[in-house]
Amino acid sequence: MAIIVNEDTLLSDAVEKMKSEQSRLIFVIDDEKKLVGVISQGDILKLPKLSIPINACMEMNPVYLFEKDRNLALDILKKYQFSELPILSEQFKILEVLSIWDLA
Amino acid sequence: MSKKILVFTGSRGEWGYLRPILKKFGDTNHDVRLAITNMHVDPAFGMTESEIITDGFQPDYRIFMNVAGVSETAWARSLGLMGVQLPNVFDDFSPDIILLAGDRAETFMAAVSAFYSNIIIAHIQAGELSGHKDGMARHALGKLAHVHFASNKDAADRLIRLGEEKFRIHTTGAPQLDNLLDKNEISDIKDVCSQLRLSASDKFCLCIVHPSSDEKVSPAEIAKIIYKTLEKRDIYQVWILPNNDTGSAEIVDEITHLPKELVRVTRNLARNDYASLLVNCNFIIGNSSSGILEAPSVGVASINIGSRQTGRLRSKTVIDVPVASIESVDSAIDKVMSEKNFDSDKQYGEGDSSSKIVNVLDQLSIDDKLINKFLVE
Repeated sequence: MAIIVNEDTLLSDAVEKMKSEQSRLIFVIDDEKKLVGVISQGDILKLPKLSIPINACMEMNPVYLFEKDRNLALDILKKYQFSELPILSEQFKILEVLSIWDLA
Repeated sequence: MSKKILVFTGSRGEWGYLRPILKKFGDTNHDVRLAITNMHVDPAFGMTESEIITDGFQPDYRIFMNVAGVSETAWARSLGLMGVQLPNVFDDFSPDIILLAGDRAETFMAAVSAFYSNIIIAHIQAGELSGHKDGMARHALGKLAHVHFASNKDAADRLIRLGEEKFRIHTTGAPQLDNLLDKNEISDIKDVCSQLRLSASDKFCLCIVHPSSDEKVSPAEIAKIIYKTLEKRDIYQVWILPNNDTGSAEIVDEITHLPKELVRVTRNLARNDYASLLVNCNFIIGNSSSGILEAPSVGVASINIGSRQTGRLRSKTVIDVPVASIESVDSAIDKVMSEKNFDSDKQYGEGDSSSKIVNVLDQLSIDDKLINKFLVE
């Protein structure tokens, strides 16, 4: 299951979710549910502490596809070697998170 | 004669000034130590210490100074905390000279600590004009500094008008330009673009908005206007998040929430990567000094918005938009996009400033004439 958290979430809380969901990516949304960032397990391992809001450390250029381009999903996942890819509405809201396992 | 020199930095911007000088110190017999503070050691601001380490330097002293909160009084308290801790470094290292750069508040606080600890203060980028608090911090620091490194004649002349003795003033150029004018110091644009999920052939502009206190349009609003004006054009916007001064939170908030279709955001960027973006961008827009000092020297057009850079010596390739609006910014963008190539304009230095600065410090005699400051009236 994809992990989606609000940008004010403490990184340590997001990491707990990551452990229970066994997912390597956390997608970050704002109060309007728009995608604003992403953070990977690899990024988190490089951080000196977890007691900061996730929006202070997230990658701010997330990879995504708009709904109309969803047929490109597998190519994009391969290109960036990610396991999950959010599909967005034109308003940047997450409609769905595709997993490479759904597509392979 | 070998000297003990403490180099001090609290932000990414000054690191750009100091880095080429630290490299040059490698060829001398001075005992040089590096003290870092503020954003370099604060996880909330990207911990730019990692950038310093990537550049091949190991900080000797780390001073954590930021108390919680983003108010003016929290910032004043943080500055006090810096002023309290720096003398411990002086006790440990006993420097002859502290090397400071720019106009930031923590740098001014470092000058206060050093002045009353009887340490010679050498100040890079002295005498220039900048936004009101920064500008006043720069000139107040100038009153305490024993050696001034001015980046151009305009700044050197101002130091004289402000009562500084001529023998203290050295016109050396701005050292942060040295790496922009050295091809070996510029990252491959393909690598930088790929980090930002762009391809090297994509057209992009650099967008940088810092806090600025005396604006008719707030900096966060300026950021929004830049985004909205560029949104309808076929060009990527590469945004670099501002320093952590009071007022930065609103700007960061604005930038973080921009739709990411044409927008890329970076929190901290190695200097070589920044140099690559600057050299390869179509233009730079916002209120960063990079648009005034650096862009013209590499032939890149800039749009300077608001009053933060008022009064600074500038090239004719800088288009000023005193009050931001969609219309005024749009017409400035039309202007820069219709120009082809600009000739580079080197009024802030020829790429040899760091050598000149190290040379002055090599030759410097620390004697009563240097130590005792007098105002020329």
